[in-house]
Amino acid sequence: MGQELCAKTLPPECSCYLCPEGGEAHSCQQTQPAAMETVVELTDLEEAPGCMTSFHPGGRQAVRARKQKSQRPRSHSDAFQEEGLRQSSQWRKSLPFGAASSYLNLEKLGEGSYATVYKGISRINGQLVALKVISMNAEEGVPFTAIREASLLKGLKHANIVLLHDIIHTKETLTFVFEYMHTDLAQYMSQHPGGLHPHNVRLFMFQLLRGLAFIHHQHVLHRDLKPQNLLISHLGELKLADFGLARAKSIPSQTYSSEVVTLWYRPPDALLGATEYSSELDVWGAGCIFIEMFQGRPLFPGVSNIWEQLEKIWEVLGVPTEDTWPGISKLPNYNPEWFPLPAPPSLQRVWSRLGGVPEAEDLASRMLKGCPRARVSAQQALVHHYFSALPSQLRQLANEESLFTVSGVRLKPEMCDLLASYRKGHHPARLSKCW
Amino acid sequence: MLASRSQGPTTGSRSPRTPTPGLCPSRSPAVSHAPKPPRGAPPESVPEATCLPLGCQARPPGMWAPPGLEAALGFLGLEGEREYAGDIFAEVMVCRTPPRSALPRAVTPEMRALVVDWLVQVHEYLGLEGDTLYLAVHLLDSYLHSGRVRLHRLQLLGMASLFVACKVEERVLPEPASLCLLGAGSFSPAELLRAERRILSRLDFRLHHLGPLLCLGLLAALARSNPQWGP
Repeated sequence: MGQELCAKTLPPECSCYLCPEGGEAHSCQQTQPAAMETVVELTDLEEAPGCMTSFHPGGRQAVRARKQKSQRPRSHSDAFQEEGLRQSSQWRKSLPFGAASSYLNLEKLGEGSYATVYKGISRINGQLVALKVISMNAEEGVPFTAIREASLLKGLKHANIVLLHDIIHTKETLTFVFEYMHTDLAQYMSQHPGGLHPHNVRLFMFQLLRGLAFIHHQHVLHRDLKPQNLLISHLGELKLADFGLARAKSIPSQTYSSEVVTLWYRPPDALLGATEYSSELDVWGAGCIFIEMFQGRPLFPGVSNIWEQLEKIWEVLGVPTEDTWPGISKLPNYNPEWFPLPAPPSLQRVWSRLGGVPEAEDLASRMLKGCPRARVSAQQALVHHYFSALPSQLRQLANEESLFTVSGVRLKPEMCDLLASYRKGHHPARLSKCW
Repeated sequence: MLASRSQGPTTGSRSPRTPTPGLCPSRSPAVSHAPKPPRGAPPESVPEATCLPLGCQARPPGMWAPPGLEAALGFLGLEGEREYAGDIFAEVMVCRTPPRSALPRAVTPEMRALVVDWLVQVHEYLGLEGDTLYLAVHLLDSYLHSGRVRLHRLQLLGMASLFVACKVEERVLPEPASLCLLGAGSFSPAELLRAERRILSRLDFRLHHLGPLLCLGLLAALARSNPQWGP
């Protein structure tokens, strides 16, 4: 699959990937627009040790990155405030990709189980980047999550998937260079408590489903959807990130662990112990996030184990039976003694803000079906009536085009931003300033 | 069709046994790297699917789906993928011809066959998934095709390929120390980890490969025969 994916995303000229060293250096110089500058810059390359001559893919990376850039003319994830910094500094076009010295660490953003994430800046072009530094396990080498994440992201180039710019190999560590995104959905929701603007929910949801439909078409499951893993740029672009638990779908008899997905966003079939799940797993998580954006708080908070989680779900959907969900009684964690609660007639009885938007409840109820086969697919959800309020051009966008390239598509200020600016006595000039 | 995909190792009906420690040059190569006939006659139900270039992007979903495809996917436990059934079928039916360029001059087809044969034994011994073996051989080949190899490191390279493939496919990782034991001490765990890094950096993390097992299982299910492949 990967082979084909790569062939899709890389233009045919990129076959120089296999050509000998001399050819690479040559093509690399050719792509330099200012040849003079290149010659001058080449003299102070001692900071980037031997990358032009070694087998390190400096040259080809540069060529490839240029190709990517020409496909993505606008990078929306650049901050306005860094504009000055970028103009004042001299960026060295001759610095290679794939070398640690080409990036500067600015600040620590967070720490995960196997990696530390820093905000950084590229010395090649001044772009902000997120540097995910992965430390090697002394016994097992490169963590398998890192291997899966990088190899999947290599084949997934889409406007709603976080972009992996570069990979830096050093002796002790491995660093993934991602595009920098300003915030994530969890942070965005906590900064705008009480639920998001319905218009923004629609835009975020469309992008989430667009990203999901894309990876599902490439037979990749994300398996760890949660607001923390949905990155948001200052324009409002939403991108799926953290593919450490993701994997390419295959024959399902290669059973997956049922311990995927944070408990709150785990679908009932996985909670019941099913290990043969597919793209519906992600759709349930997306449905939970959908309602969470309206309500401003998680759907099933405070649960500590799968039994509590299942009971919370049954309270909303009703207890399933063999009739409503064929095969449920065969699942390992099925309990025949569950009291048959009647389902509430509608989801908006539980989550009131769903009622305020036409069609939203219908879409949510299609995504939150207990039986996985009854759940809508991401692709079908994209053509749901709920999204008919969006401009129709959004459905004709190429994979790597952002929603925000269509004129008139933009976020609306959230309620609390409006209130804050009202108190200050002026209108919010620019949305990004509100954050 | 099947012939064109069978670049991987032959998993014949051999009984599981302990792999021979080290490489034993007297074994006859079970797998040859001689170029296979490029493509068999495509099955009638797949109009032109195999002839399209790999980069063909605008595949109308479901266009090539043969009748009974959804039932076949259901038989394989993939009923959740009915929406993407046409995609999956088109994907597995794309012919992946092995790269034309020959092995590096120092490596003969017999040497490669020896390593692959040994990997088959290690794979059987450790009881790994079928896809892991195909991915390991794919990684080994990609590495061999992409440049220089030190001959005496061929076995280490094979084992490191298997190790990386395990990290992609398996849920439980074999321990590097036990893999080194299977190599009869011809490389150390530290060397195995270094080789892993070298594979990742040379292949630039392009590790994905759709092995033949899904294709075979799907064809078998479509033909309503009981699939003998896969666990």
